[in-house]
Amino acid sequence: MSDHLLEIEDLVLDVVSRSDSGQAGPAQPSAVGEHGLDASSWKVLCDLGLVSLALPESLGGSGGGLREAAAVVRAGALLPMPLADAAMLAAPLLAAGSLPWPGGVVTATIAGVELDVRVEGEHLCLSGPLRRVPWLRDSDHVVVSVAGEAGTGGLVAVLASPASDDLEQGRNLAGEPRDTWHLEAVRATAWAPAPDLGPDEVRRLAGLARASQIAGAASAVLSRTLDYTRERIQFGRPLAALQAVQQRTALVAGEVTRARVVTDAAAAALDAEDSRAALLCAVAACEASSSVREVAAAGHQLHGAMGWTTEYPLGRATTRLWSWRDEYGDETAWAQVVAETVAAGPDVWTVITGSDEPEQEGRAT
Amino acid sequence: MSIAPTRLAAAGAEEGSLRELRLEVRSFLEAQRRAGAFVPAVDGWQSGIDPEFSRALGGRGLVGMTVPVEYGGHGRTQAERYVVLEELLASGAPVAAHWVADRQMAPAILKHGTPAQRERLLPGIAAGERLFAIGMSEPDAGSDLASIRTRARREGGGWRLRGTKVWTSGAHRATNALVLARTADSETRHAGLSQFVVDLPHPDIHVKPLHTIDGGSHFNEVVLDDAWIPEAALLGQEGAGWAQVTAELAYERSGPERLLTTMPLLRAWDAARRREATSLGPRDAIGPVVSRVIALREMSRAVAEVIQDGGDPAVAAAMVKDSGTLFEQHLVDEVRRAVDAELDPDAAGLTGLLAQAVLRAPAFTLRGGANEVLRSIIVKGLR
Repeated sequence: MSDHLLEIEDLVLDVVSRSDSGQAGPAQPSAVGEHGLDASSWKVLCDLGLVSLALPESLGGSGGGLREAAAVVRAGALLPMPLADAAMLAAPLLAAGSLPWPGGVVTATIAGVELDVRVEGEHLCLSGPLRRVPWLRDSDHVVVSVAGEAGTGGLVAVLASPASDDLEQGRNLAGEPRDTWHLEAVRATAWAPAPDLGPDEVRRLAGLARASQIAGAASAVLSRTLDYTRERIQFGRPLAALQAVQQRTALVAGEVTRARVVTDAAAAALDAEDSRAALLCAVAACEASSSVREVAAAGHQLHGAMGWTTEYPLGRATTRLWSWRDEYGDETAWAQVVAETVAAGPDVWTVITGSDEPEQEGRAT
Repeated sequence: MSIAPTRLAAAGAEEGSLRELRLEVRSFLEAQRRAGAFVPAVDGWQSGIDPEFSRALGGRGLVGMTVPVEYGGHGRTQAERYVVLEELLASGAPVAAHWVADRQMAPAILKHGTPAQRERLLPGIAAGERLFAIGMSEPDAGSDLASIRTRARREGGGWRLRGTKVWTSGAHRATNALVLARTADSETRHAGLSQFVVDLPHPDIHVKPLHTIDGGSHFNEVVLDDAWIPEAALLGQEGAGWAQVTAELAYERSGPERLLTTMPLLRAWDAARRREATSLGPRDAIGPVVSRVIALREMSRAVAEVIQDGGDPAVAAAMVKDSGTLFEQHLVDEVRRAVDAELDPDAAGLTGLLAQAVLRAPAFTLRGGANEVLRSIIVKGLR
């Protein structure tokens, strides 16, 4: 069942190890504002069909599921590119609108209420801001989710990215581009209604995308920490021989494993259209975000001062973790969604086990 | 093959037949509770010793579920058993009397027992009538199990046991004890240990209760005063006791009892909130708690699936135990902070359950291997 996920992860990890941006080398100097999308790795991943897994083949995707996409995102979490935005948000949005993969570097965003959307003949015309869009300056296309009015389904629009001059450039803690674009009557290159995709569903996809990135980056922190504490000799022995170090590392491993399993569970539930999918997505986002504090803090503590410098790549992971945990909802926001789900259910244990009385077909007859 | 915990995959959704089984067990337990067969308690799987209730569960086929039918079991899957365990734990039912017999003795006897041992012991286990106590820890050997001093020496076509075991849960009500003893001196500490299945009561085995701060006395000191047992009491290979003990640890450490011990408290809190029509607060404390238990449950289920597929998830299992038992304690604190009440162990309802939970919580991160020891195992096992 899970072997193919490991194969996908290994495939992506191989790409990561060949890139000079994903793992090795110094962290990008975020203070300088340099970022640099890794265009060659993007192309390799696209050629392998790994970016558009969650889009059917008939639409130019690779016909996988979100579970596979999440595996790609975990393994490629540290690659400087909008991989999660494309694989776990753009692809399912396009699939919901039956729109084809636009090609090139693709990012995605959720439009706020300030965005004005008008249908003019067969065109869709957008005005207003798209705020803090990941990697917009480096993208060819941005897939935008627009919420419908009062209970109606939303729509999906594909826009060609603007010239950099039209962007208000911003960045997150890791120096990843988060650009705001003030649109003035911009026509979508493609658009479609997405009646089945309400704002909650879209938010869930975005939350799970960030959670999957966190799971991957947290795993990289653990891996680096294990390597470092086993190699670094102090007091005549490796740091890893110190029990205090072992204790803290083991706690990190618990956080990392929990984030991994729960993001995988949520993605699998979405693919299976399981009734627990919504709850599991909220749990995944809550747990991944809440794992960040200890994973990043322990990673830095166990690396000593070296980890705080840009000469060592730990900061590449931790700065991302600190940003991603807040993007599309922090752990408090997602925990509240869980609390609301409990309140709406018959009792807490039924909610936890997802065991509402099953609708049994044909029982009445 | 050892499965790296950091590469675990989720177990996926529960199938419809499992859900039906879950609801069936849930309504049976609810009926039992209403009939007064038990009062929900925290830590029912260790503190709630009730042989009569165990027999009732055995009668319904809810004990020894995975034991083959030819040995009186029910030939059910591990997944089915997992669902039943969850419902038993969450109901707060008194299931301690048969818990270890079901959890580790049945698989150990199936794996290492002779045909005669299987025929003699398994049907009783599946009936919920043969109740085991596990004699491992000693006054000078807790986390450092390999340093046990209890000895078994050959005599008169059998063995003579001498030593003292402590923290032996349920020994006063058990029909059998599994005793780990040294059968040979050896240069390596882990060699020369053997396991014995001892029938209780025994004239030369003295069981003395140890009283715990929660007012309970399920723990015992067990003195083996040159107790003679027959050759047939040896379980598995002479000298292979350490390997046999550690092989069962994955079952012992990753099961749902490592995260659901305090679930009856969460349910009671939830029920009280509904009764009082408490509206959801901002940053409501129930959110993070439920989120965490759902995530931990997915971890435990993932490990269960590895075990079912024949893999060795020892490190991941240790991780479930560490994370899960920390959560069990954390939950108690969250409920305590949300419920504004002074705790009285004699109080009924939520406050009494909370008092019970506070007093029992220290054991959660000790039994089955202290968490600090498990963390060393986890780190050494990680690539």
